[in-house]
Amino acid sequence: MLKIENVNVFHGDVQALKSVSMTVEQGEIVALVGANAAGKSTLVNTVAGVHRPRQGRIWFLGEDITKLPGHLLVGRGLVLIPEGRHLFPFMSVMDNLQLGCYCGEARKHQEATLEGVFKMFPMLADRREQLAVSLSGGEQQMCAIARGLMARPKLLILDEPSLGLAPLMVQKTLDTVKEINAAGTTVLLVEQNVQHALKMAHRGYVLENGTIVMGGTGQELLNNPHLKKAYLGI
Amino acid sequence: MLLEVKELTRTFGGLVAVRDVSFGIESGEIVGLIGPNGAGKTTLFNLVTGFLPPTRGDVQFEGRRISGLLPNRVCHRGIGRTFQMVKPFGNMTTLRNAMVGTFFRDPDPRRAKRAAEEILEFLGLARCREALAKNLTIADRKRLEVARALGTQPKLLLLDETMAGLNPTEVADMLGLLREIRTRGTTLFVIEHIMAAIMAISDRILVLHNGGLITQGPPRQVANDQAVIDAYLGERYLIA
Repeated sequence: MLKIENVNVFHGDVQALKSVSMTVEQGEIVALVGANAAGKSTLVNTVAGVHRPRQGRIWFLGEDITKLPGHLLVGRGLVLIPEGRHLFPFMSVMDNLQLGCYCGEARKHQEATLEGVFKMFPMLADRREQLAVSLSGGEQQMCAIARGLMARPKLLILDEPSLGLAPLMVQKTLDTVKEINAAGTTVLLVEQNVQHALKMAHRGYVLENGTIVMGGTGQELLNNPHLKKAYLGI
Repeated sequence: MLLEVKELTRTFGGLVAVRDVSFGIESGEIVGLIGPNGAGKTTLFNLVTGFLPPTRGDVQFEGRRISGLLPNRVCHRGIGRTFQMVKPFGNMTTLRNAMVGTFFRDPDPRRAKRAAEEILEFLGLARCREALAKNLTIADRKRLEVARALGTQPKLLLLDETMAGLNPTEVADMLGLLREIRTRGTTLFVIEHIMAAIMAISDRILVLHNGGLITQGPPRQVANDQAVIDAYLGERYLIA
């Protein structure tokens, strides 16, 4: 479904990604883990068309999308829920959600999708008229996830969805991701919660200093001594 | 008692964000504050630090009333804070950002710079002192928040989710730093959702739910409290 080939990305003079290659197959949950500043966000932002690779190619559903801008990717079903929420603060929860389904086919299905999203996050239904800025941090995170789902993604990329959520909500959110996946959406998950992420993922990749140093099934990675020491603190 | 909060209430229109909250913090303690998203934790921080005036109730610091004071006055009295949504001056270097904190106590640029450098060194940010703040990772920007707050030489430091986004190894490093900050004489009041962190570091934990304090006590007791499990944890948290 998604294939990344020898991608190099630079921020100014600093090389953030060095010849990164990875794949995500239809129906999978793939976890991307690594320390802060390893390049995880850069990688998913590059896939979503926020950054341009200097070299390398990215394929989505068999087509080369390396040079496509972000909004066209959303229309094709490749959706990123970015780290740090990025809601429109002075728009209502409802308007934020509706903007999620602005591109492509998703707009036609707005009402049905909205119903599903409200079922997942009842709090958002209660607060639909409130300005996004008046939500608490964790509630804003839920709104950002919900907005991503409004686009009816084929490939959903989540960058740290559990950031700032209470433990109960972390579980619920990750359960939601599993449900979304079971319903047919492919998932690429960046998560600091390494243990949770690898447990629920079919496969995972470990990114260090801009390079993929390891790949394997979630279980293989969880049992890997290097990973245990570096990321799980065991 | 270093900080004493009495019957503090704050409403937004019809919503009671903080309801009749009373508690105290002793000098030298590390006190955790947990609760579901939207429970009122950040609002409580805003009330203590003067970012919001309370609707009712009273905040006292070192025996003097501080509720009603502007945030900069509260900071002068010795309460520092970090923000959950970090907002460094993006086009200024890490060092310059840290100096925003140290200038608060010392108008002399050389001394303020030296103080800022020491804080960056202490927090492990010296390696990016010349980097623009907008280019820092989220984890480093969170540490820069701590640096700016430390620069104001707080007696009481309020930390709002400074460990969000860190992996377990990085969390362990941060816990070491917080313990060191306490050893150097700063009392800590900490909002955090990472249980491994808050349980390990707190002497006492307060639990806020729907704006009200539902329980408080040592970590082990709070982790076994059924109301806390139902409202917040979702399952029993096992303390090693």
